[in-house]
Amino acid sequence: MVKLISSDGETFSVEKDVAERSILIKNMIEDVGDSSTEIPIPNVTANVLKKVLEWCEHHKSDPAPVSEDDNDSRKKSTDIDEWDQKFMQVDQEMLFEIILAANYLDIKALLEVGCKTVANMIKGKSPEEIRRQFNIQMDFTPEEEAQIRRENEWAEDR
Amino acid sequence: MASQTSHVDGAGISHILDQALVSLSDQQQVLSQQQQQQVQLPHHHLFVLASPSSSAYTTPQQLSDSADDEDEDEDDDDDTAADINDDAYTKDSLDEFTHIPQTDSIIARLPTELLLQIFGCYDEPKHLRNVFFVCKAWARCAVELLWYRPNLSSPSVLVRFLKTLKKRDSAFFPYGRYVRKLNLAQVADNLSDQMMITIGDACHELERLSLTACRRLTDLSLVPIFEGNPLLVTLDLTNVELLRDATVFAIARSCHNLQVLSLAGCKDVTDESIVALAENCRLLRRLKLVECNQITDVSVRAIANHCLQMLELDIQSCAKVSDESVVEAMRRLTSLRELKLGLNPLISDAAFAAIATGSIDGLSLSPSAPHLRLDALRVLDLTSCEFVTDLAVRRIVDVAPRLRNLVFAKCLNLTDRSLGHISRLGRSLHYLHLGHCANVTDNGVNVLVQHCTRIRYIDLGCCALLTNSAVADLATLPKLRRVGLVKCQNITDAAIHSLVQRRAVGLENSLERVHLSYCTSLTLPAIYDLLNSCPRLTHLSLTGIPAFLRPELTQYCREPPQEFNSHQQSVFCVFSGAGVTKLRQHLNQVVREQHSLYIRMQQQMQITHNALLAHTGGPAILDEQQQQAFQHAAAMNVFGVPPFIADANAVLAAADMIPNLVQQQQQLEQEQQEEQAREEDEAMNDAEEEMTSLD
Repeated sequence: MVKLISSDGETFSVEKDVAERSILIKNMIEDVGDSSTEIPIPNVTANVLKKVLEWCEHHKSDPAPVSEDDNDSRKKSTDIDEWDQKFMQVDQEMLFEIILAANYLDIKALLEVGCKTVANMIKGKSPEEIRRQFNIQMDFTPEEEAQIRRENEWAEDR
Repeated sequence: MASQTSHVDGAGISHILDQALVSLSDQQQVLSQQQQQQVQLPHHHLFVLASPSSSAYTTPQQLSDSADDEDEDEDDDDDTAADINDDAYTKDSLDEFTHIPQTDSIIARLPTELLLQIFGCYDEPKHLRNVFFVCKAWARCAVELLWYRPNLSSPSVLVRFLKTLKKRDSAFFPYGRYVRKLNLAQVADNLSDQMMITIGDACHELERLSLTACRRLTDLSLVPIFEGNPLLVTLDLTNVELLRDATVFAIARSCHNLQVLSLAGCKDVTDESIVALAENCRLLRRLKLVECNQITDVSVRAIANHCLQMLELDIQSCAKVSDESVVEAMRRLTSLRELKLGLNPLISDAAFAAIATGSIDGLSLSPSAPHLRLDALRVLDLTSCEFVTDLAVRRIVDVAPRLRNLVFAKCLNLTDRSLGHISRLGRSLHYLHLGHCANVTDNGVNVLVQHCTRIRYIDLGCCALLTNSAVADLATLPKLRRVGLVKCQNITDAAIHSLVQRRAVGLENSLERVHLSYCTSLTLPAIYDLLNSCPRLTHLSLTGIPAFLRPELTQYCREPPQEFNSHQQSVFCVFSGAGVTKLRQHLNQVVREQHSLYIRMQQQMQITHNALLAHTGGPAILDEQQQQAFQHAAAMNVFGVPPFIADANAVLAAADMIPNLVQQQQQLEQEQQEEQAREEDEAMNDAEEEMTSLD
C-alpha cells in the first residue's frame, strides 16, 4: 500500500499498482525506494485526488500502450469507452481539475480521456455556443475574424 | 463558421455540463479562491511534466501567460500582471494570442499544451475550424495544429495555401513558422519553382519534407529551401528529376540534423555532392540512392567512412558501384539493418567472400581485422546480381545469421545448395524471394521448410522445376501469408488442395496473397476450395490460366495496367481486395444454384427411372442423350461435391425431356400393344371366320 497526501492534507491509502498508474508517483516511489513513505501531492486537492484514484483503480490492469504509432491513432479520435464516459460526467470545474491533475501526475490515458471529453463537448458547436458554454469572452474584431477566415480558407472542406 | 446549430455529438455530456455551469456561476467566489491555490500549477507542467511530444508546442511565455490569467483573478487590471512577466521573459509577438482574457472561464486555466491536446483529438479539420473564432488564444492553437502538417490535397488548396504564406508579416499569424511537416507529393505536377520559393521564404522550421515526383523543381528553388531549413530530419526527393549537385551541396551545407534522405531517381547527382553529403550529414540513418547511376565506389566509400549511424542503405540500380566499396560499407557500417544492392551488375561473390576473409582477390584489406559479423543485418536485397552464386549465399549466412528478409530474385546461378545455406538462418527468416532461380528443386524447398519454419512470405515464381511436392511442403509453414508460384507449370489442382488442407492438419489458414498466374493446369473447383478455406485472402492472381479467362469471372478482376499490350490485357486475371470477396460470393452463388439444379435432376431421374421400371419391369432402354444425363448425375453422386459443369442447363433440359420420352415410349408401346391386340383379335376373327367357313 502507498500513502498519498493531498494538498489539503487528506491521506489516501491505495495499492501500489493503482498509484503507479501515475508516472510521477511511480518515479517518486522508485526514487525513494520505499513504498511505505508518505507521498505528498501538493497540486491536487482531496476531492480531485479521490476521483483520479477511482479512475486508476478501475484501470489498474490496463495494458501499457504498445508503441508511439498506436498511441497517435488512438489520440486522433474522440471515441471514449463507456465506463470512462460515465466517469467523466462531472461538473465543468471537476472535469478541468481532473485534466490538470492527470497532466501533473502524468497519467497519459486519463489525460487523453479528459481531453477527448472536452473535445466532444466542443464538437459541432458554433463559436458563440462554445463561448457561452465555457464563459469565454470574444476578443476578435469583425475585421480580424474576416482576415483569419480568409487566411485559413485553404483548409476548408470541399 | 458555417453552422450555428448544435450537433448531437456529446450533447448528453455537454447538457449536464451546461447545467452544472449555471449552478457553478453561483459558486464563483469559492471557485476563484480555488483558482488562486492553483496559481503555480502551469509552471510545474512545463518544467516537470511536459511530455516530449507536446512540449514542442510550448514556450515558457505561453505557460506564464496562463499563469497570468490566474494572477488576474486577484487584480482586475490585465496589464499589470502581464507587464511583470514581461520583465522576466523576452516577450514574443505571439503572446497576445495565448492569453485568454476572460478571467472567470474555467477553461482558461488550461495551459496551451493541453488546449493543443484537446484540439488535437479532432481528425477532421472541420471540427478544428469551429474553435477558430472562439477567441484569439483558441485561434492560435487551432491555427498551429492546422498548419503543423497541412493537408495539401489538390492544386486549388495549394494555391490558397500559398496565397496566405505569401502575406508574410501582414498575415494575422506567422503561419510559416507553424509548418513542420510538409508533403507536396499530391500536388507534384503543379508545383513550380516559383511556388517552392514562396514556401522557402515563409517556412524555416520544417522537420519533414516530401517532394516525391515534383518533376518541375530545379536547383533554383531547391537550394534556398534547404539553406533555410536546417532543422530538417526527414527529406524525400524521390524522382525530383531535375535536381542536380547544387541542391545536394545545399543540403550538405545546411541540414546537419538530417536522418532520412531519398534521392532515388535523381539521375544527375554525382560523387562530388554525395561525398559532401556524407561528410556533413553524419546523422544519416536511412539513405536511398536508387538509380543515382552516376555515383561510383567513391560515394559508397564516403558513406561507409562518415555515416556510421546508417541503418538502411539502398543503392539499387547504381551500376557503377562494385564489390570493393560494398565490402567497406559492410565492414564499417556495423549498425546496418538493411542493405539493398539489387540490379548492380558488378556485385559478385567477391564482395561476400571478402567480408568473411577480409580480402578481395587475395589482396588483404585489413589483415588483422577479425572475421566480420553483421549481427544487425536483417534485410539483404541482391535482385539480379547475376554473378552471385551459392558461395556468396554461404558467406552471407556465415556473417549475418539473423537475416530476416532475403531477396535473391533473378540470381540465376543459385541452386539447391543455396537453400541449404539459407536454411541455417532457421527461425530468423521471414521473407525469401527466389523468383527466376530456375535451378531450385523440390529437394531444396524441402530442406528450407524443415528449418525455416517462420517463413511468412516466399516467392518461387518461375522456378519451373518445382512440382506439387514443393507446394505440399510450403503448405506446412504455419505462418505463411504470401506465396508466389507464378509460372510453376508443373503445379496442378493437387497442389492447391494441399494449401486448402492446412486447416485439416491444425494450421490456421493464414494465407493472404497467393500468386498462381500461368500455372496453366489449374481449374475452377480447386480455386473455389482455396477461396473458401482462406478467409484472409486479399490477393489472388490467375493471369494466363485458360480455365479462368471467362467474362463471368474476370468481371471481378482488377483493371489491367495501361502499359500492358492488348494480349497481356486479354489474359490479365488478378483479384484483389473486394474483388476476391466478390469472386468468392459469385462462385458460392453458382454452386448453390447448381446444387439445386442437381437436386431437381436427381428427383427427375428417380421419377423417370421408377416410371420406366414400373412399365418395363427392367432397366430402361435409353437413347444417347438420356444416357449422358444419367452419367452426369451419377458422376456428381460419386464425388459428392458441388459440380461445375458448363452444360448444366443442357443436362437439365435433357432430364426434363425424359418424362416426355417415356410418355412417348409408353404411348408407342401402348399403340404397339393395341396393334398387337388388334392383330390378335383380327387373327382370332380370321380364325373364327375360317372355322365358320370350314363349318
